Amino acid sequence: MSADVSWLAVLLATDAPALPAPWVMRLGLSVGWALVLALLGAGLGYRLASGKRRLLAAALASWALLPGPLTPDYWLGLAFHAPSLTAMLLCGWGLQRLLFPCDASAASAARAPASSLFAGEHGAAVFPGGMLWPLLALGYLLLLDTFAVLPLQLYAWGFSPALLLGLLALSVLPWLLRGPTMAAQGLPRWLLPTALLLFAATRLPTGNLWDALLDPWLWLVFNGLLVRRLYRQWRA
Amino acid sequence: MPADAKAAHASNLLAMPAGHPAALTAFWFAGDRESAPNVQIAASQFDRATRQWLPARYVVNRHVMGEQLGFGLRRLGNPVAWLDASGRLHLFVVATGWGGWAAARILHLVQSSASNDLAALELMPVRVLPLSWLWNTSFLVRNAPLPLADGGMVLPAHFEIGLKYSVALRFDRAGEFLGMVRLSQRAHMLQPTLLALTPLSWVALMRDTRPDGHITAAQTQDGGAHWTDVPDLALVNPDAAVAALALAPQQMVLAHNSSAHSRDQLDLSASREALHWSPLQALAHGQEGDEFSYPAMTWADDSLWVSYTDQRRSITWQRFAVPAGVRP
Repeated sequence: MSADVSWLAVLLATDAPALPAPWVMRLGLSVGWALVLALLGAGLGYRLASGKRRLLAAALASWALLPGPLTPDYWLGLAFHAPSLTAMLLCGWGLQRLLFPCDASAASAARAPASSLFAGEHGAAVFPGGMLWPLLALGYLLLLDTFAVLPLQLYAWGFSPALLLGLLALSVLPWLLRGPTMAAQGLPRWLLPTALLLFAATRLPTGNLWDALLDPWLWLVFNGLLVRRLYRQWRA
Repeated sequence: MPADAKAAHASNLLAMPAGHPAALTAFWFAGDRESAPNVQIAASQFDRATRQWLPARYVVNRHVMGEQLGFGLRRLGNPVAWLDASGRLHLFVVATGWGGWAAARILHLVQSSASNDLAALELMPVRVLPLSWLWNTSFLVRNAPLPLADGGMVLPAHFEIGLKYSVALRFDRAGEFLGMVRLSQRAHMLQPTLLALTPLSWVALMRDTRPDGHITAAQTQDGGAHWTDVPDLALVNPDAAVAALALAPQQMVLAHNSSAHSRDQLDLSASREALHWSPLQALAHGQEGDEFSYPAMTWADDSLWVSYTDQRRSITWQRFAVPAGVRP
């Protein structure tokens, strides 16, 4: 009985965080910003031929992966630390769609700016209502928590092993309930479980689960998508 | 002071173990001015043999630390030192990102050299402590940690962008971060200093940012798991840092600016229960416009040591064998 209680206490504890090793944090920061910059390059260079577009994305990513203060990740890290694992996965997915389209319709979509990845048809695929709203709400709650406005300490929960297990179970639930038909919808089926599993393996970017799921920039992008969606609905 | 430093601020004192060549180590930040690009963390040690301070040297440079972390540090600020259970020195330093002090983070450094003698002391970054979701900004340290019986410690810190609230960060005996607890529900209090009345009953005294403020307080009865606000102290506080130290059960001292609207008077007060204080000793009384601020204290070699910022140009120290009215 006491062993069970002790096991449960460990699971619910927020006072024994497993933090990433310094070298893992450093690697995560560089790889994270490399993915973000590569996606930005690929998106902004949508008028370029696909070869040049790939070259631009590769050059930007390589620049971020170099060590030293003359690299963008050194300064982006100064201001914003590392992107979330969710943001990294989204960037990786976006790069694959933009630079290595797998069929004719995807190739056509790849000719559009990166911002279109998250809008219209693609937006519907990436962010079905079930995913956008919880992440948006989570961002607002974490923002309020930062300013100690909430009666609880939400950020500290991000160190709890129980939260990781709970969210992991929740994230695979649609998969289990709907089966392989979800495969046709692309990113959402694997984004959150993958981010959570990556977090469990690496503890990136900070050792706190909330930082792995959502960073402030990604949350701002989600807010922008929401505003655009509402505007389009209003115009229609 | 390092020879090229025109300004110094925010000293911190660390008592060294018996047998160490130095009685204590002092850390502070020094450079052209507060928040100047060339500010570094300076250190000196009080040598037990010569009874002199060793020439100060810089031990933390933001460019060197940035290279090791993989991301830049814009400015350096308050340092706070601690020795873990194995005698390894840890240093917690305020390091800003994009912005001023409100964009600060707490950088955790640990001794990487075999010795923590001043000449040999080298520090390497462990990490920036993960304390908030908003790009991990706006947490700062100022006062010394509260040592715990298990060899760990509680590091007082505060959040200061917009609302100002105090927190306690817990570390284990090896210096591993264990978590954070808020000290107060009020949003105008920063730079807490911690006093243990008993192993489980502690008091936090804090700087008050309100006009005509008083030193504010919170207390816990369960070893820091939960905190409640208590009424402000009778002592005024001109929005200035305070430092408290428990010398023995019911023997506590507090260094604080005692004028309501300036930092030109720095005094030492004594208390038996941390919430009511009586004057003990003047530390520095100057003219209008003078500044004696950011006190730090520690107990070493049967003496109370006090250091503070003197006119933002240097760090001054005083040593009291046994402060009058206090029996350690």
